[in-house]
Amino acid sequence: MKKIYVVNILYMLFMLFLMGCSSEQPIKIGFVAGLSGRMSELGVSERAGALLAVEEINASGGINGRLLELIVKDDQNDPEVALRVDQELIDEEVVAIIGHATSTMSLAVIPLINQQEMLLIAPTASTPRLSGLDDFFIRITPVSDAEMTAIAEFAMHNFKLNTMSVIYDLANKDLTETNLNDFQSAYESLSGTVASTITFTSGTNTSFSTLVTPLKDTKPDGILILAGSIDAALISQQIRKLDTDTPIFMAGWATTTDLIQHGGQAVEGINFVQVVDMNSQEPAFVAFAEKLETTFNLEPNFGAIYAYQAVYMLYTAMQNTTDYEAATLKRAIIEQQIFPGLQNDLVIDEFGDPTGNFKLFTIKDGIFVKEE
Amino acid sequence: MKPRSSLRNILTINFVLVTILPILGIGLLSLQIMTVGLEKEISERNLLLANSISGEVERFLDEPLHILKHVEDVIDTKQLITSDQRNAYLDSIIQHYQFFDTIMILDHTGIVRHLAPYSEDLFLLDMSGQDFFRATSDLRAPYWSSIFISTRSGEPTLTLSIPFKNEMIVGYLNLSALNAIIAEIKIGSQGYALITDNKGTLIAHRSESLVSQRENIGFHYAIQQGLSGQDGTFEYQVNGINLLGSVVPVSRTGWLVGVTQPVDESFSSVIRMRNIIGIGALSALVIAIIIALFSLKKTLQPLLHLTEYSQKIAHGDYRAVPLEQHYQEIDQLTESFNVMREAVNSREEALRQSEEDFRSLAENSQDYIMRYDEECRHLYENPAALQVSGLTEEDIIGKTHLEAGFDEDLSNDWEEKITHVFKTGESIQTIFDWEGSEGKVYLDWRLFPEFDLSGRVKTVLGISRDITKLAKAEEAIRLNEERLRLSTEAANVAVWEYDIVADHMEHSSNYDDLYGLEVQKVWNTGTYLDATHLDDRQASDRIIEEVFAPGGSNFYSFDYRIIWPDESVHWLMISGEVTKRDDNGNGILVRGCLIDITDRKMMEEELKKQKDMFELVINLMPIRIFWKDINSVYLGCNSSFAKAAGETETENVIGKNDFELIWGQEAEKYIEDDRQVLRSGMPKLGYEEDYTTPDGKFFWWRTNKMPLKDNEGNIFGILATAEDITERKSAEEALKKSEENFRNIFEQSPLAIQIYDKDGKLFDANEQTLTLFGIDDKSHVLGFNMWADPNMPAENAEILKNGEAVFIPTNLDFDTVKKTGLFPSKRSGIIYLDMYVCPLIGDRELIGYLVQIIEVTERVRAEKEKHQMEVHLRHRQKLESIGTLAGGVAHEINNPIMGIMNYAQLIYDRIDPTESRLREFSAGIIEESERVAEIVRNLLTFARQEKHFHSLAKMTDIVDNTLSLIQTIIKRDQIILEINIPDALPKFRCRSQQIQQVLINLITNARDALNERYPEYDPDKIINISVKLFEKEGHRWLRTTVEDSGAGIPVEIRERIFDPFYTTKDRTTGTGLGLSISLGIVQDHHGKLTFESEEGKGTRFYLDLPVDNGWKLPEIENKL
Repeated sequence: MKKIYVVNILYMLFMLFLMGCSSEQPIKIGFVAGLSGRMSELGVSERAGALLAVEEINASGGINGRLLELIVKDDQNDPEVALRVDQELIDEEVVAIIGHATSTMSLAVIPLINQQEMLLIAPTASTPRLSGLDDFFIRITPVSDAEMTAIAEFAMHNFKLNTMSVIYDLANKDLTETNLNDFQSAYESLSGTVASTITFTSGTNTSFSTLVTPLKDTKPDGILILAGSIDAALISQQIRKLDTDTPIFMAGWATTTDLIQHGGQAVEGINFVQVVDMNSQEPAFVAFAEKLETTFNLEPNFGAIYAYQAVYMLYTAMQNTTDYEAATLKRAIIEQQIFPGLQNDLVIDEFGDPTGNFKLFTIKDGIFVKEE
Repeated sequence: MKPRSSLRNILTINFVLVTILPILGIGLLSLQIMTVGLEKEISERNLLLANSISGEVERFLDEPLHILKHVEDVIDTKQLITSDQRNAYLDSIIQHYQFFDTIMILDHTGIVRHLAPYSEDLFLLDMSGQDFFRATSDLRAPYWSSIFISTRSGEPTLTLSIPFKNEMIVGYLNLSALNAIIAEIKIGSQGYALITDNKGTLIAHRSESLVSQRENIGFHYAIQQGLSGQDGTFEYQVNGINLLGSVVPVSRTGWLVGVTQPVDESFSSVIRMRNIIGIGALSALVIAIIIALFSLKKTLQPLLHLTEYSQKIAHGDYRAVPLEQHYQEIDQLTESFNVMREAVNSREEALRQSEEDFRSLAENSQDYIMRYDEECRHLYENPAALQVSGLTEEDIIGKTHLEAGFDEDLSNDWEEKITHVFKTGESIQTIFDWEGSEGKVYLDWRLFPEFDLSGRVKTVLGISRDITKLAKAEEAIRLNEERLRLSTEAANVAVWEYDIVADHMEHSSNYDDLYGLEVQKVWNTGTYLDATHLDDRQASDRIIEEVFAPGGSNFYSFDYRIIWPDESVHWLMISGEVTKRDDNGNGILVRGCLIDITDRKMMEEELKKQKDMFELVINLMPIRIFWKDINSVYLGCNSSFAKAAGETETENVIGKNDFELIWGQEAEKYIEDDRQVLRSGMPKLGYEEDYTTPDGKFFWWRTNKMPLKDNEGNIFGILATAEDITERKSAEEALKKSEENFRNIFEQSPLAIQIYDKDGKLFDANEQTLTLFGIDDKSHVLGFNMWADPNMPAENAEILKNGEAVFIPTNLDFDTVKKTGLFPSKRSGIIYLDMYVCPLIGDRELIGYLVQIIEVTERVRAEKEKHQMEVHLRHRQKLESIGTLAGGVAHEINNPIMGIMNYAQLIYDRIDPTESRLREFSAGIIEESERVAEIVRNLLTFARQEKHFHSLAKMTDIVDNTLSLIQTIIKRDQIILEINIPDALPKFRCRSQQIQQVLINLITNARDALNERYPEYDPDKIINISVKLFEKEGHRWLRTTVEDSGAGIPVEIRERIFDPFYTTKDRTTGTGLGLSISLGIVQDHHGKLTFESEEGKGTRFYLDLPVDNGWKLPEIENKL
């Protein structure tokens, strides 16, 4: 605090000769995800991943001497809020926005993003409805139709399940309904039957015990849950109250720590497919996991990984361009095509959608493990 | 190279420094002191605050733990409740304690077995995956979870879990209660408090959305330190903003309480002060520069002109340049400079002239003149010498004698002599004969050394004279003298005849007597010539020569002096006639007489001496003296007058009148003065008149004119003197101007400046002094004795005498000034001053003191206010800590009370309805416990831990409601109630229940006071309640006054009446919490509770509440 004396004296002496201090302004990057509410686990992880990447980049000197500044917004998983905060970020003249965490939020803001020509890099919005479009939307997570196909194949080939019931969340129906269709067509093409579908809307005081009661009669060979982590955990608990054997499959976006915390015994042995592996021993990933633990007290999940990679993708593009216009950045990303990932390289197609190889995972003793 | 400093710059800089340095010095010093003090104070205050919040959080945590332990006790240890009663029991707990959202009992596998409020979804749910379940199972001890999203509410939640036997009780805590602890804590406008869990994730924050977003701030430096076990105050940076954060851990859970405030805001008063000093110094600088430049320009202008002038002279231009007259010193310099210029000019002229003279002398001299250098070479030889040697300049210049062809022996002899002169520096004379071009001549040769400035012989000058003719002339004279010896005989008049040719004098016998001699047997002209006075010899010789010369007058007569052998001087008059001339007209015979006229001469001499002296005196006088006849025609004047009149000789003035002199144009004026004196016969003395010369020069004269009177008293003329006082006048003028300049600086200074003489008596003071001390007229304080001022300790005298200045920060009470009659002043109250006294040293001697005073009352007052605020804050902190203590105690009591009530309820429920007495007892326990609970609730109100909702309310309604509650008591005590509330009062934001509580308190106190004074009915037993609206600092306030005519509050307890548990009433009537709760409520409302009281006359309480206290509308608060 001695500084203040020095400042006093300097201030007095140089009052006449005040000179404007011309330090470079930081480059602003927007970040937006659902940070509060039931599905906030994913958003909070993504925020941590993105912040970690920004800190690393700034520690190594930023971009051409300018530092990055991550401006964080909460879309509260509400499309109206999402539009509002995205507009706020655009007004703050961010270079690009990292977000949103869910497909529904991403779809809600796409018209705004394209109209304002703002680059949106979504870590975890996987809806196929956004693939194959030459727009200002780029994502890190593989498109979910491939995930659904993979689930259908594992269910049929590895588990020999001939009938399956699907429970899905209408709060994210832009994703879940498409997923259901993709799953159904893939599953039926493998001669499987979707025995029944059950819907609910997250956050509306649904009684999950009542919700799963029809399954007693349907008796499917397997159940697929397309919902966020907490809802998936509670649904699994109610299913296990009814019967303990039926194999359960889940959408990848439910597989965060909250699923294990709130699912307890009920989520032991459930299955899902994923491109990244939380037990990977890749040095880059291990270092990343350690930093996440020490800085944010978080365990790594796909949200944190994908958000981290999203920032690095933007960083690579900005290094290769001079103006930070959305169109230029987007072109730079598409042209770069291959980005080094924490576990394996991330490959982007001409529409900004990545491809990936899904593997089968389960939960064993409270941790995610790959099935051999 | 360092350029030489200019006088102007140095003077300017000195002036500016003298103005600026004290301001900067004092400013920086006070700034430094403020900074250090503030820094320490803020750190300590924030840490204290963090500690107190931490304590509150600990107590907050205590309660759920107690309750869950109590539940465990009831359910497990004492087995008081059967399994099927558990849900209902948990329900009752939830209803009593709102900080629990949910309470569950899990079995050893983590399955929910009991819960309240009941939910089908949660019942039998598997909680084994939850962190808290694993941690509690491992620890087998109560466990506070970190923050997570509740499955039930979707909001961030904390759980407290207590294991017992095979089961576990889990309470889900409502975080908003934690937020309430910190919500109202504001430090400045931007400081606030926060709580994080043991991983740095926010649990409570003024921005609740950050809590719901589970923002982790573990990477903030202060939080990092806190989490690693360091408590204290740290400076850190977030998003480029410097913050000051104090962190204190909550020991039970490892949470962290932080109090944070932007550094800029913390030091805002320093920054403001810094700006004020900066701007003050800047404006002082600007003013000082302007004044310095302005006054210095005037001061230095003449000096610059003089410098230019001197440069011109240095380059040889000796013309006089008229310079304007400004300052005495510079004018003197100019004057001396002019004199010097003239002297140099005339000297140079004289030198040139003399050089010319000498050259001409040498060139035309009949003597042979030559100059030699050290090698005896000729440097110069005059034409006569060249002629006599028959050589030209080329033949001899630069050559020795030998080289020029002189005889070798002679040359050697000459050179030996020249060398001798060079060596010894002494002159030599020698006579030798030499065969020149015109035959043999006798030469008298002299050699003189010529010295250079160092005293070395530079050259040798040789002069040789042809003395061949001289010898012959001498002989002739000798003969003449002899012939003159003839005429020397007469008594007093001696008659003589002198034959020039024979040099023989025939004279009467008394001739020798006239010379004081014995009778000379032989005529010897020399005897008489020698007797002639030296001064007269030339003149007499000249006259005689003229007479004897051809064509000369035959008659002559003159006086001359002789010196007798006894050395006495005698005057002789000689008269002669040339009686015979030769063919050429030369006198050869002369005769005449000689008379002793010593007596007459002596008298004449005396008279002449006196006249000369008189003239000398008159002419040497700088004063112009002149005298005129009665027609104003000049009779005479001295030389300075003649000079002034433009004449060189005084004679030129005589006979003229004023019209004919250079001031002819103004003559009428002078002649009029003359007439006046002549008419009146009275002198006109010492009057000043101006006069402009025709060439435009302006003069001032001081003139005296007086009539000249003869012995009979008749006026025959005027004598006048005139003194040129132009210089003195202009010097006075310049002095006046310079004085005016300094006076301006002095008077316009923002400092109060006084000048004291060396005895410490006030000599002068500026306008600011009068303003500052409220003095009407300077004359009231002139002569004021500095040492009589109590602010001026005598020991300063010694310091000041040593030439050192003294700085005295002090204060002045005008009331004391008035009382002691120190000086008359119209000001009152106390002012604070910074006095700066410095001695004025002139000529190494103390001549007085300069006192500069600036009023710093505002600054001192600000410091005092700050101090008072600190005292107030400390007192408030004391009250708060008592409140916190009370709250803590209340919590402690609350838990067992709940237990008592619960147990009593259990007893009551189980007792057979027929056992009415036992049921009555247990009902009694419940009832009494509820009363205790009520007291505890009051304590909590005091500790402000219970929050009431607030709304817009009308003071009229609140007063009405209050009165309806206590009217019966008032009436019973026969108290007269006067209510005075205007209709149109604005609604204001408050917790009306609490304000009502305050009013009840005040009215009850008033009633007690009245009852104490008037136990029975009395017409003066009155309580007056009035409300009025007033404005203060731009905000509207409501003042509710509760006035009683009771006993009054004794002076000695007035300080303490707001302290908790302080009461003068019977222990049964009062708890001592009434006024302290009231004060707490009022302060909560950002209001003020004050009172006035006079013993035996009554008390008046003022309840001041702001109409808008800045609280949010209740709807919003409800939502939160």
